[in-house]
Amino acid sequence: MSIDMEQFHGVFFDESQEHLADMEQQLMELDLSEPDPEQLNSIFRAAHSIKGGSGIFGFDALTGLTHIMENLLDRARNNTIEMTTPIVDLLLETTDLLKVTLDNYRNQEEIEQADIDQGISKLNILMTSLEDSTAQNSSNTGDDGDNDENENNEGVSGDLDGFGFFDDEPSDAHTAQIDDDDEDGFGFFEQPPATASEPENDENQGFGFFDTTPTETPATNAGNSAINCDTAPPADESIDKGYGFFPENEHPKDDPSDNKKGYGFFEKLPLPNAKSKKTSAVKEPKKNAAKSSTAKASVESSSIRVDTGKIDSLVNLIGELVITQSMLSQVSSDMPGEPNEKLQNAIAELTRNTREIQESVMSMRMLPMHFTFNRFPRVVRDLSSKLGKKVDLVIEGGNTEIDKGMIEKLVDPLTHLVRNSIDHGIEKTEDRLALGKAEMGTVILKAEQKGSSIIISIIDDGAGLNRERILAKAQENGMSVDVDMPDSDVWKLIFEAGFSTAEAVTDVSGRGVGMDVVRRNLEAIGGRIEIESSQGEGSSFNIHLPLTLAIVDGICVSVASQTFVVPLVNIIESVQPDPSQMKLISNDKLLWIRDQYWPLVKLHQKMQIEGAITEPSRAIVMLIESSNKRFGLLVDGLMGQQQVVIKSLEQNYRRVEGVAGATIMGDGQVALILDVESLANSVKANGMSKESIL
Amino acid sequence: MNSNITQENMHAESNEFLSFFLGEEHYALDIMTVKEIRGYETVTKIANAPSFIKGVINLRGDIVPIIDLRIKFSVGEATYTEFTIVIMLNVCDRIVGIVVDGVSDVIKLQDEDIRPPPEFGVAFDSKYLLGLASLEEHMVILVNIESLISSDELGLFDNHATTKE
Repeated sequence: MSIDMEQFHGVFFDESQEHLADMEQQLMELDLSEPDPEQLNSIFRAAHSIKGGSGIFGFDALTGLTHIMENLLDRARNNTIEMTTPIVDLLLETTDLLKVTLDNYRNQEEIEQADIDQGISKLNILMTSLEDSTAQNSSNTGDDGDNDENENNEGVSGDLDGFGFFDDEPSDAHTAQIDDDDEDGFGFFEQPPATASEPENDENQGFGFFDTTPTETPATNAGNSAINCDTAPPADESIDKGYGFFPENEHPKDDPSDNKKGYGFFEKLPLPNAKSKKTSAVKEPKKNAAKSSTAKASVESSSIRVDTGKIDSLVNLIGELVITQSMLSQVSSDMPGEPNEKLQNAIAELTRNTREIQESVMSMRMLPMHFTFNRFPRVVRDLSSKLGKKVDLVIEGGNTEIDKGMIEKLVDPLTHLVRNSIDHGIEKTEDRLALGKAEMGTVILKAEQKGSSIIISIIDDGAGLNRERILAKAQENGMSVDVDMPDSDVWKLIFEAGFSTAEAVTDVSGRGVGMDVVRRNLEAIGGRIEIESSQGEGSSFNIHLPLTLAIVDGICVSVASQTFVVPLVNIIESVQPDPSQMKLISNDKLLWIRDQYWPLVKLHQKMQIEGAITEPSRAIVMLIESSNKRFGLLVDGLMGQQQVVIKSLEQNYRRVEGVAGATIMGDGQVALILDVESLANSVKANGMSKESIL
Repeated sequence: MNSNITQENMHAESNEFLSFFLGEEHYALDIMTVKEIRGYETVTKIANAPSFIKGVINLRGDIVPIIDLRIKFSVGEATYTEFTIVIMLNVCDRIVGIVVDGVSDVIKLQDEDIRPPPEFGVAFDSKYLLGLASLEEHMVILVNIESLISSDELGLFDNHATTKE
């Protein structure tokens, strides 16, 4: 009789989270002087969806909050109240509260009932203050029955929110649907006997606790199946808005004019679902309904939720395929004779196909930067109002795609940098005016792809970094600095631990933890950060990231018979040094180039390889830059640039000093990927750090 | 093929072992730990590794370390010919290859066939041995390959094999 509702919880949480994010974004974008009714609608729908879902699962705190939020929004979209900044503020606050509450439910933690009550009462107070004589709903405090009735009353006056309780009252369903052009119905389906027997359902509010698809009935509840079968088709028509509990059905955003959304509670049934919807559309006299349900049906099949684990294993397998393919082409190129030509053609075809497969599989892991960027309007808004600065956030390149794993890890560093720009970068309004700058400060958040890396920039038109202050602070902290240091080196100092030049510690920044963490976090995902700044004009933080975590761009180098891969991001240039450039310091060789002395790390020595070229002037020196050091890496020769798939050494073996991982070359051999950071550490061990030389 | 299965097999009445040669000596290990048997191929050397760790190879996309027990335990001569065999083992959720001079047979042994290991006299410490068995004329040394591979002595894994990727 009963079905396990737990299985739907995860989906509900995921979706509610999306709805909340959507709501927040829409709230931020809302133009208060002339609110777009579609936007208000979609905010309303998001609140409505959460309310519906939480109602089903008995998450009362969510239901209570969203309910009153919904009432407020409903008035806003009916133009009975005007959206103002305080309202948006309160709504944003409420979304935050909802997020917290949602997380609490998800983690099965205690709900902060006091916060919820406070949130509800705040909304209520606002509602009351906005109250006009016609609306009687202000006294509602979350009692569902009452509210629904009220909403239905409203609906009579042109805009109805039907809660489809349509189990046993198909005629109601029809009524609701007929005099309605903007209806939000609910197709719930739960253990229905209780609800079905509730007398109040006979009122003109219906909660369709059965979903619209007739075929689902047997699975849900045998006891009610008879009713359901009878009522399902009309219910189907009457349900205008759906809660896709399964991804195929869920595209609330795709068609904003589309108020018809399906409630697909069962993944297996997208087809009948879509079909039944179409049927309903045919019966439906209204043209737009027919249009929207067709649109809906086509949208439903366009997205599918897949476990990331499956994608990851696919990515791994494709990696294998690429390796096998390159082995094959190597073998074929060694084969003589005429059949070889055909073979080579076939392999060329295979190469193209594998590359395409690889690209499309990789793209499955990619998400647009929107996912990270979308939170920043809020961050900037909150922070600028807190600091009393006027800041305009410009987001560019939100469509740039980046690996999913990186998206998550970028949030903290980016948040920090943006906060930093607003707190330290952008001047106070009066200072800006005094300097003849625009009153409104601008922070640009930009993502772009350049070659095989993604560059994310945080640009502000504020004061820029203060060279003197950084240098003074560095000296104070006992760092070895030079007044003639190039700007780029000075800027790097701010990434040192415990470095903050803020004159006062605020709760926003100034504690000196942060920039070093930013750098560490970025390095953990294979990125690096560069600063450009000019005093009085602003500064720009540029983050360079690899396209994905699974693949690294590297230069293959040879040492005797072995091959190593040096990550491209660390390489400045490669040179064949002239003997005159080689200097000696206590028997250690230094390379004098680019007006600097570079300590030399001999890779053959580090990797204990015999038979390598030991004389630098006959070998190649790669100038390598790690996060804190620069050195020259002595190798025998360069073999070319290549993208390599990173394999873990630790999976079957253990960590090896100086080695970040391994990869498999075209000939099936294993090549080690060098870990420049740990190689750099050995430079210090020899007392050859750059600082000591300068 | 995790340790549990291996343990269970140890306690089963009849066990199958893969016997192999290290030099002149006849060894055997639990066949359930064997993933596959391959010829020796060129390895990629690992810096600063002990000499018995030959390096790593690519086993269909996995990077697998290759160990030469002959070097570690000074049995026989560490020569590599086209007949040199690598036994790929699946122990402790890891894949490890061991170099041997040859694989001879799969042998079935009853529990009562297995005698306790001697305190001395074989290359391996007795804690890595399950026991001895006689097979026709030969004596076969049964190796507890799992405890050997995960031992600190070989130092194959970080932190006593507790770290996994």
